[in-house]
Amino acid sequence: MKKNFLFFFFLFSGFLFANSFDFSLKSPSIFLRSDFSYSLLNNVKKTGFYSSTRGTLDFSTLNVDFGYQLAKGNSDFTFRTMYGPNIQNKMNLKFAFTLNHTNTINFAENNLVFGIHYDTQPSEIFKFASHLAYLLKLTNISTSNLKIPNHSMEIALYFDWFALEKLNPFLYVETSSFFNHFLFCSVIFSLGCNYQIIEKLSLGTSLAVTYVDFFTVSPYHSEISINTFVKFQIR
Amino acid sequence: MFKKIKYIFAILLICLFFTNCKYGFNNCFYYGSNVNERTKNGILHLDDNPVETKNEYNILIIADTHFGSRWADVPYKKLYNYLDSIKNTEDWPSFVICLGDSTNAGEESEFILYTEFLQHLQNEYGLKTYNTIGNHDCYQFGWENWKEYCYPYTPFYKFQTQNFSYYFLDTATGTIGKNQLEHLKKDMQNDKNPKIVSSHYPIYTSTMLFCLGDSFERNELISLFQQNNVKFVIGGHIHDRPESINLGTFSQEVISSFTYENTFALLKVNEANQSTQFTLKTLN
Repeated sequence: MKKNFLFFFFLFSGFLFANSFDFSLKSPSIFLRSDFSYSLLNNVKKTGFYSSTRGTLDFSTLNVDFGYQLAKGNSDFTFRTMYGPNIQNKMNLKFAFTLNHTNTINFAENNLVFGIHYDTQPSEIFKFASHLAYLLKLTNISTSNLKIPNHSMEIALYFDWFALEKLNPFLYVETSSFFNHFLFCSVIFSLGCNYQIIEKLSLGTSLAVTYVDFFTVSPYHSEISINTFVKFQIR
Repeated sequence: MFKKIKYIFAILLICLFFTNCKYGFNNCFYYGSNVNERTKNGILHLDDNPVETKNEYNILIIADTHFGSRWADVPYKKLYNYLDSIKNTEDWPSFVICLGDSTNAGEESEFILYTEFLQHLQNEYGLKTYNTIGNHDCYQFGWENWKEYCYPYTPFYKFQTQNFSYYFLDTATGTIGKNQLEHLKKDMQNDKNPKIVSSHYPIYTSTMLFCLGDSFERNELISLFQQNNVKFVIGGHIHDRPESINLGTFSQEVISSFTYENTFALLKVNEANQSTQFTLKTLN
């Protein structure tokens, strides 16, 4: 009885709100972004300079991101896709899947992330986004072909301001980044801004501090990096 | 209504930041000491050999004693009773390893209580304790106290017996750190002995919590251990969930808390055939 009620409730809600959900794909905007970073406080993965390149296809309801990062002694490749409706032109709710592959001489690691992405722009000058996901980490230690799994979670909060015409500050608080997937609960705080030079070209900079282990209230800043990036809209 | 919910949410969020007041509010964003700083001088080679010429011996291992905790009393009297009961038996240990979180909030008064406990083990039972540093030991800038009270007064060290090398790592800040890993690499590559490693944080757990959070450095560490004849790793930190994990060429045992779970472990080491046998015990 309860099951039937839930079934009809969701069916009815689907009809009721069908017009509010917009699943249509728009012609894509294409972005290319290159990052150059310097680690002020080195951790094991990132030492000195490292760089990454990332491409984005934005179909409005479908987003595809892919890129690679090169650091001393290791490389990362990440592919991410998100799909979901725009709701009443107010917010986007998307299912997200990320595949990240890290490679070194000693091990290879695959991170499979399944989650929900939500973003909204309540006013013209402020945008908020959040991300909640399940992480499956599969590691293969090359020395002995040992395979070890981990199950974890990821949370992220993104705040973007558009208060000035061309200068946009941002603050991101995330337990993982596009190329780095930690076990819960390490946190990366990124504070920065980007500046639009011409219509399709912008430059940006940020300071990122990575803390390990917020969970047992033992947060320790394991990496501090300065990042500069250039972002170009191809289409 | 929505405004009220927003206020309640904001208050709860602020409260979250104060949950560690006992451990030092500053610990929220600055942990008081730095693993790279603590291990900058590299690994200390102790001249100790607590087992001298014995071929087979036991090590008594305790973890997370949390002296000063208001939640539970340290069951040291039960341990003394146990030690009294095994005198002159083959279970008698040759020395003690404490896997960190000796104190609850890193306060000097807690370190004094802990030191009294260790002195009793030394004076009454002839058992010397080798300490591993834990995250609770570093709360409230407790590192300054740890290096004053806990032998051998440095968190990154080793000693050798006839055939084994014992390594003690500093993972008190949830990370091994770049400096320590590099020093460890160099030292392990020059040491052909089978090795036993002590660390407060387990190197690996199957869950997402209570282990080294940066899986990159964890993988490097596992690979290093596999290439350098590490036989056994012991860790604490988890309190209530002992875990035994095979990591290819070595195994890891996670020991639950001495104080909260009344548990300890005996590790039997055979120097001649380079084998180890681990037993988890509960105090009655």
